[in-house]
Amino acid sequence: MALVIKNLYKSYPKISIFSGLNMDIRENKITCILGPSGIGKTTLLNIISGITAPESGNISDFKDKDFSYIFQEPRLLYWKTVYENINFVLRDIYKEKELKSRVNNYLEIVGLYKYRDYYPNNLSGGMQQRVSIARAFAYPSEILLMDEPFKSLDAKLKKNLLHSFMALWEADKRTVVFVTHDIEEAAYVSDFVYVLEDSFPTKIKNTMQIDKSYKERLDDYQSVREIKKTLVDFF
Amino acid sequence: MWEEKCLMKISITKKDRLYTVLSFVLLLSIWKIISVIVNSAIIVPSPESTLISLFNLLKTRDFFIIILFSLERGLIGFAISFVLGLLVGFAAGFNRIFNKIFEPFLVIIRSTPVMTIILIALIWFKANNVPIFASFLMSFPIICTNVIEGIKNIDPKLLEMAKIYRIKRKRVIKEIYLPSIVPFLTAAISTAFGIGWKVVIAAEVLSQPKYAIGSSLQNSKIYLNINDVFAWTIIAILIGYLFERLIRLIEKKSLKWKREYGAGY
Repeated sequence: MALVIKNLYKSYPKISIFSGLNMDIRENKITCILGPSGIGKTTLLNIISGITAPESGNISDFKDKDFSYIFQEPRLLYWKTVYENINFVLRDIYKEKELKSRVNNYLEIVGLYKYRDYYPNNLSGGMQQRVSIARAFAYPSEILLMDEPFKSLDAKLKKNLLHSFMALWEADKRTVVFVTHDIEEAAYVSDFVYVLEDSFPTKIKNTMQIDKSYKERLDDYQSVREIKKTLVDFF
Repeated sequence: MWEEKCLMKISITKKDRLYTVLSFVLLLSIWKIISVIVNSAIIVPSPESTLISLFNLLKTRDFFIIILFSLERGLIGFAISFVLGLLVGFAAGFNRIFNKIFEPFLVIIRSTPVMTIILIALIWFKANNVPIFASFLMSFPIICTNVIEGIKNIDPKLLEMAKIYRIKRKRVIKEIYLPSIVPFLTAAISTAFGIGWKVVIAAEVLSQPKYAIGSSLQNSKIYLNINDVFAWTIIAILIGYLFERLIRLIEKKSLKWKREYGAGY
């Protein structure tokens, strides 16, 4: 099954971003949209989630779906503690007992249970982003959108976060649209990759399907290297 | 390292306190020197004689009643400004048209001379309510403007996040808008009360309610009792200062998430 984006048009003053873009988002898979910065990847996510309206095109598969979103920045409420930040998006959905255990459970998975009563300002940038990842997974969405969530993090931290992310994803395998410019990230986690062209209006240059599981890729670095090589060749 | 930092902090606050005391001593000395040079107890009383007057005032039967009544006027004026300022500020912050229509009102109120406001109030209201009205007109625009400014400064990215997670509007207002404007609001409160308090006393001077710091000031002046004028002024300053401290305390409590030190670094 796939969610279909069909014949999408969107332009900003003086520039046409999408002109008849077609894309399939496979359900319960991680679809990666790989391309250079400033090519309209964020716009695409915003159209999918309904923040931005397209000019025309069919995205009706995405209507009425519940989304969670991992943004480039953590976007936490700085006057709420780590626990309260996750509680904030779940409170209207779950009853008290389930709510509490759900928040704690996701904090546990991202390794922040100890810091549940901290305010975001007292945590490092990487820890804050982990809270935002936990929030996105704790929220019972059907589709998870990710907009370069590992940008501006150092290599080691990025690996840690990718790991936390995959641990969470394996648990319920929800549909993910993952936007990035980083080939390494794409090579580790994607089931399907759209490589975008570096010019407006944005076109799909190439696609790649990857069948190896995350665990297999972790065990066999050679395979990641091959995926990376293929993706580099696409550029 | 951490302890060193703490110790440094303590010694800095100790030093700061020393400077405050120093500045106080300096002020008193200048006052004393001027009073000696002028050499006229009717024009500039000495600090000692003012202090004696202050103690004498404290012993009078009406002293606390006077202060309570003035304080009551100040607080009522302030409370009305606060509630209306918050409501109108939110309305204007959310609605561009309302904001545009309302803006000239604010500009006019802000630019009207205080004395005009008091004189008009004298015609319109009973003596007791003149100070309340005047302080309301002074404080209200400050609170209102700050709330509008605070709403303008809310991070649209947080609102986007709330929209994605389908947070209800009521909760967005309570949990994103309100906390975001707290820093603007506390700044507004301390300025608004400071100015409002001074206007209350000025209005009391002219409207002469029975029990009022302003009336007492005016009466002291009429009887050329300059000692009492100074003494009442010191009381007014002290009350203004105490309120300012109270606001700072509340601000510190409500912004405890801002303190920066902790686990991640």
